[in-house]
Amino acid sequence: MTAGAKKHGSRITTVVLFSMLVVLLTLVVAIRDDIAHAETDLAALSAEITTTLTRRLDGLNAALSSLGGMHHAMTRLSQQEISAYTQEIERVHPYVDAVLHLSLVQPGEKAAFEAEFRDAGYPTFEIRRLSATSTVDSDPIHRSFMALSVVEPLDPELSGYLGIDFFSRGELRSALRQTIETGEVSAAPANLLDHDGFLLFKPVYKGFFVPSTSQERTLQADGAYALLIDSTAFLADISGRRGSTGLDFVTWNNGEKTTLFSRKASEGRDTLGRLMPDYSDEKLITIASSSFLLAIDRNLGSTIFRPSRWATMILTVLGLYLAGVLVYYTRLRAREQAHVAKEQLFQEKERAQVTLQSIGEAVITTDPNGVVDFMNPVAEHLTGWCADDAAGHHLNEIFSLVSESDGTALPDPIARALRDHDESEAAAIMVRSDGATVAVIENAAAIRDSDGHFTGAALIVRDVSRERNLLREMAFQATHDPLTRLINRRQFERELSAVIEDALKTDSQHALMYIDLDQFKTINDSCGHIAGDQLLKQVAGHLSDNIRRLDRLARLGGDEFGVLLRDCTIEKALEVAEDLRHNIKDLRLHWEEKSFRVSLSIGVVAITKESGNLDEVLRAADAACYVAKDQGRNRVHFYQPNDEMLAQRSSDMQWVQRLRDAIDDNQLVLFGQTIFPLGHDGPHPPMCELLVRMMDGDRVIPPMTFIPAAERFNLMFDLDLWVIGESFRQLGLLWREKPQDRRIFAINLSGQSLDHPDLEQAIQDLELKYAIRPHRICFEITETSVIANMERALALMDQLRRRGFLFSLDDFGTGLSSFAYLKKLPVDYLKIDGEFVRDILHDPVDKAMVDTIRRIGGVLGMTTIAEAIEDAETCQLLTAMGIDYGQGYHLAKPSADAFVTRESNVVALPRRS
Amino acid sequence: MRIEHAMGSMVRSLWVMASICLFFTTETAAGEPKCLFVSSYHQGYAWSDGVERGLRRTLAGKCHLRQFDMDTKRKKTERDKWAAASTAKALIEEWRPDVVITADDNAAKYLIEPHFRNADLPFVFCGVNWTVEEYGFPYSNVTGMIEVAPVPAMIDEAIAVVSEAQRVMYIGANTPTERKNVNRIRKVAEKRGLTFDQQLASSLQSWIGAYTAAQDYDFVIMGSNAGINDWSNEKAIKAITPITRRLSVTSHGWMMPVSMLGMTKVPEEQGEWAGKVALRILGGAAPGSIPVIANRKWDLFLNPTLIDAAGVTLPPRLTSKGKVYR
Repeated sequence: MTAGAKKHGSRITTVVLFSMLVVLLTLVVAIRDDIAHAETDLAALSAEITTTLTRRLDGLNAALSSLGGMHHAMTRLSQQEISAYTQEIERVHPYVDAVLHLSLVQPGEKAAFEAEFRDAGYPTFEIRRLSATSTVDSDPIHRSFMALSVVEPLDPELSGYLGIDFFSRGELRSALRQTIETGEVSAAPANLLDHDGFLLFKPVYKGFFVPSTSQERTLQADGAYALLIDSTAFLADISGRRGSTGLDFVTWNNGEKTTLFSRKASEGRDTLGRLMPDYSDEKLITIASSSFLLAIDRNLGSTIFRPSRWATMILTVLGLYLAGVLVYYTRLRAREQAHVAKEQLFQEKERAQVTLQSIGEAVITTDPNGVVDFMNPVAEHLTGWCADDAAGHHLNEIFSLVSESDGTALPDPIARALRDHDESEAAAIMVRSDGATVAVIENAAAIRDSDGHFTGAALIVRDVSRERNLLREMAFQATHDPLTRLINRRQFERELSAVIEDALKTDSQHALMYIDLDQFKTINDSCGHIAGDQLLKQVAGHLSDNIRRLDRLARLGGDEFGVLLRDCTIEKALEVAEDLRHNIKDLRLHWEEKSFRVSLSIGVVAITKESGNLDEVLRAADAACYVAKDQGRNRVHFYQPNDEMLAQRSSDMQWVQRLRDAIDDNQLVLFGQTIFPLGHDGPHPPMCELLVRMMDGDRVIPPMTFIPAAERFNLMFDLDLWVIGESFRQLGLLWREKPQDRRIFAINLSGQSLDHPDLEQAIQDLELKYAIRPHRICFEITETSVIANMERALALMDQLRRRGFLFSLDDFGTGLSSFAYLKKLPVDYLKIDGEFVRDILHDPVDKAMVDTIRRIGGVLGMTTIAEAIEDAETCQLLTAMGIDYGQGYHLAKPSADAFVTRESNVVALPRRS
Repeated sequence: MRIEHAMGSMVRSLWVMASICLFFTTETAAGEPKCLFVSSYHQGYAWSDGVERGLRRTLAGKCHLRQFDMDTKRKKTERDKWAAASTAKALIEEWRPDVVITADDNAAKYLIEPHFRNADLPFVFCGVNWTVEEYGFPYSNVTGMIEVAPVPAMIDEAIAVVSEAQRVMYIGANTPTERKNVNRIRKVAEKRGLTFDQQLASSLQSWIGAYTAAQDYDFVIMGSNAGINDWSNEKAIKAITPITRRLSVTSHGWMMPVSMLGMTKVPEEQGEWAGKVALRILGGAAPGSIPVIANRKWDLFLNPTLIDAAGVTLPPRLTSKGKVYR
């Protein structure tokens, strides 16, 4: 997941979580709002109930007051009139069940009062207690009765209360006493009349007016009117509204709290309703001087909740929230995109800045007038101006450009860019304000705005000084020898050709010297290439110092130098050559506490119009040099046509070609010369040295005829490789046919082969190809060839010995080596040079040398082989001395049947003494 | 006379048999309480019709009401009354109502008192005039409403209209009810210092004679004509209108055609009360727990035709309040 996707996912999660929170909060607000709304509603309901009840009580009070007023105004209010008035009260106040008239009857009037009723059609009428439990017959203070005399409308239930003395019950008596004493309305519960409601009393007095004092009112009381209120109807349209409402309606009669009716809020609330708080309120209602307390209790219940409104609120708020989120995220995204764009722009700018800071080209920008406004560090370095200083200066003040070829001033690059359609490139020389010059390639481009208007120019200048120098260096290297700094063979030949051409054209005389450094190979091989290189440099310096300035000295390769002497006679050339040869004697190479003297072999050839072409001149010079070397080195040989000494040189070169052809055409053969173990009790198997011969028809050409040519012309590796390949091929056949052949076959490896990087791999490939038994193969190497490249030779020997091959150090004792090398060389056999063997019978030094070699070899675990044994005495001596093997014409001559197993391979030799 | 008597006996026998057949062919709804209404008089008699209206309005749909009219206003002999009562009793025993409602005195006198005093079957009476002492009410199984007239108010109003009134004449039908009323009214009048005379007529002619004689009094109290079998409002009006000079008052609504001022009882009040009490008894109340009470309603009527004809002037308090009889 990408960082952007993660961020996007995180935002969605945040929005979802906040949406849930918004929904939750909105729900909470909606619930709180519903509760507040319900409380407000209930407060309003409470006020409404209070207002309604107050209005109703006022109305009832008014009705009672009217009834009382009529009573006072008329002598007597007949039952018919009460009945008629009741009709109106019931119509206006439908919760009035009945209008009651209570007659205050003094004890003495009781009988007459009852008789009057009985006479009027109430045969059973009597003033009586409300119930059997009533305690008094009459009011204890007034000793009077408050008898129910009229009930309108009368129904059978209420008719049973006619004649009831309302003073016989405390609650009623208290209410009646209060209403009588105050002249105002009072109330009492109607449950005493088995009625669910309450009674409102209003007193009537004797006379036409209500007495003004409480005492007077008590004395003049005539009775009371009462309204029987059905509380259910009284509250029907109030308490039942909006669920269950609990109501307590209380009044005070003479200070005593009296509950007129009580209705509890209905139970059965649901779970949510039980969690809702109860609402309660108390309202004091004052009717005249009477007080009523209305206590309202209500459980809010779950019905107050308005889920549809919640949904509306949630959807609205959520919609607003999501709209806000959308706007926010749109703006945020726009901001982020702007930020990203800004960041990208910044990065682009930074990248451009860094690029400009880091690129190798100088970048300069200008306004349309060519006034500089920016330079990068390269430009600062190139122009020598600080960017801040350059800003504001015209480009011409910073530098100018001139032609690379003729130094003429070049046109303004900015003008050129405009002229060349925005971009142009040119090579030039920058002339700095301080006068310094730098080779550059400048590229000018016009800068245009989106409308295509020219707003400035960018000038890119590349310092090409190094390229120029490099080209010069490359040109130098192409024509010079890197070691000696002299011209190389190619250049030399080019110039030589020119001189030859000149000679042909102008009949002028020139000369060519071919110089070969004597013993250079020995120094190079023994002291290493570094020493050799050092020597070559010294010789080059020496030669340069000793030729004319107009002469041309070149290193032609290896230790060969050439000197072209222009306009020089042969005599003068020979004189110069002699000087060179002579003066080189003073040159010493000091290397690792050794000092080497150097000599030169110089071939000189005159260059005239008869000299021939380049090859002929070179071949002549080479041949002359060869002759000089062949004549003993350190000499000068002047080439002359028909020179006999040159014939041999020419023959060598011919042999090179023949050898190549022989290798390619398989015209070489292998001879074998047996190497015999000296002694019969030794553990040594017979050996056979394989020797290469060239066939010229039936004639066998000895190796000394073509080996020098092969060495001189670097054909030894090819020759050795042929010998190895052919040897392995035939040995593979031999061992397959004669597996019992125990001979060890020795194969010579030249120094060139040892130094060749492909030798090891070639031997391995051939070994595998012909299933060679490595422990039956012994490579013979000369100590000179090993020492010439000790490191590579040791590595090769080590690898081949690991594979089982054996090594023999050939011609030991004749080179520059010492015994110390033997400790380093991992060889199995020491082949004592024949120079020590030939005169061993007569030269005690040679004998001592051979003995020393034997001893040293014995100490180092090497097997010794004496070669060039040409007589029996020598063989006996060597055998006596303990030499392990013997080889020579006395024992066996090389023959073409090397790969034939013969009995002659084992000869009878004298036993060791 | 014999033929007429024989025909009359036969008609009465057929009527009684038809009533019994009608009664027994009527089915009661299952589970609905049975209420038997025994009227002392007959349908078509204004008072009785009013009582029946009030009763039926109260009991409508609440009990299965059956009615038996004793028709004692028109069959006045003791034999007829006892026979009607016996028939009613037989009906009660056969139909076994849950409650029996009776109207007016004869049902109380001939049915309740002799046959159902303190019996188990509850009785609710109404329309019994003035007092129930003569029937020994209340019994444990009997309650009801006594019919009283607003006599004091009526006399007080007449005294108020007729200044210095001293003599009052009461005229009505010569029936036990009227005789009972006369005694009650006499007490009221005499209590107010009036000289009270009475003339109870058995025919229209004698009634007109009595009315004519009453014009010599200060005002006339018009009793009920029930029992005057040849009564004719038209004839009566025609006879009295020319001769009327004195204020006449009545407590019977049906007497307003021949009276100037009426403080009339409301017969429906009797039926309604009887119905309410019957329902309460059916609801489980004992009849003895419901007191016997008197009716309390009456209304004020004026007969402007007769007033104008007589040249009597009524105070605005009455003319503006009283209902105009038409």
